[in-house]
Amino acid sequence: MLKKTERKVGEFNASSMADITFLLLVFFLVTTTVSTDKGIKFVLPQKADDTTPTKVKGVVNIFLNDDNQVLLGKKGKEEEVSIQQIKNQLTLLDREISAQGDSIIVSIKVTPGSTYKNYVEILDQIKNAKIDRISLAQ
Amino acid sequence: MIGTTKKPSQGQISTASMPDIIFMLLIFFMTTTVFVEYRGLPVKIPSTENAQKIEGKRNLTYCFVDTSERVSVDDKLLSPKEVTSIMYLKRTNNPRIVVSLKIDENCKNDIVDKVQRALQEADARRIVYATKTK
Repeated sequence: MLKKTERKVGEFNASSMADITFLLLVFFLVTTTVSTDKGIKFVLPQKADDTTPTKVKGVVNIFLNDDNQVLLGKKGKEEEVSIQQIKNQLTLLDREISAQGDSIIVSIKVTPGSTYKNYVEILDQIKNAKIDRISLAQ
Repeated sequence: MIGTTKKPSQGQISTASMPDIIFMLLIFFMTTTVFVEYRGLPVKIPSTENAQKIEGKRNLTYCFVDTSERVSVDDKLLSPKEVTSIMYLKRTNNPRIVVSLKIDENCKNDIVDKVQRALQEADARRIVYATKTK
């Protein structure tokens, strides 16, 4: 009378698992956009309360004014140049300064009213001239 | 010796390890992906020839400055003084911090100078002027 009922063991087909994961992976690979950060690296000078003027040789000044005009040259010998000319001028000055046994330092001074775009372009030109020693005059 | 004939091998690759490989790839992408947490301000960054690729996304902090001289860090609008305190906190948490300055190309250098001074004050001196490649 009493019949023993057989229990069915639950099973499911896992063979499509790999396909599903693969599909997911491909979806994420295709839709992910890798945002790359690019820019000009710079290290700001240490904060100094009393800046004592030091006599350093090989300093080349670059001034940028409110009208976005650029003056470039050694102290007292600055001349007006266009932003595109900066690289060539700096390369010339670099050669001249290293011939004297010093190494070039570029000091940038910008007026508050000048545009950031021009400041970055000047930095770009300095990097083009392969000069790493840059100082920010404040 | 000679009598044994070789059975022609049936070219089959075992696909049993396939799910493991795919899983491993999935886990790799899951762990290496860094999601963008902040949206920032709409800025038009300048383009230069020397735009270097910046490595180490985890050490990067973004600072946005737009044309109306608003400064934003972590989606909060701040004054330069507040930038100092927030950057000081960030630097104490992570001494290898690099601040990426996303400044609009039409900004005046006055606000740029203020932000830079704030960063100097916080001793977060490693910066990147975010640019595009020309």
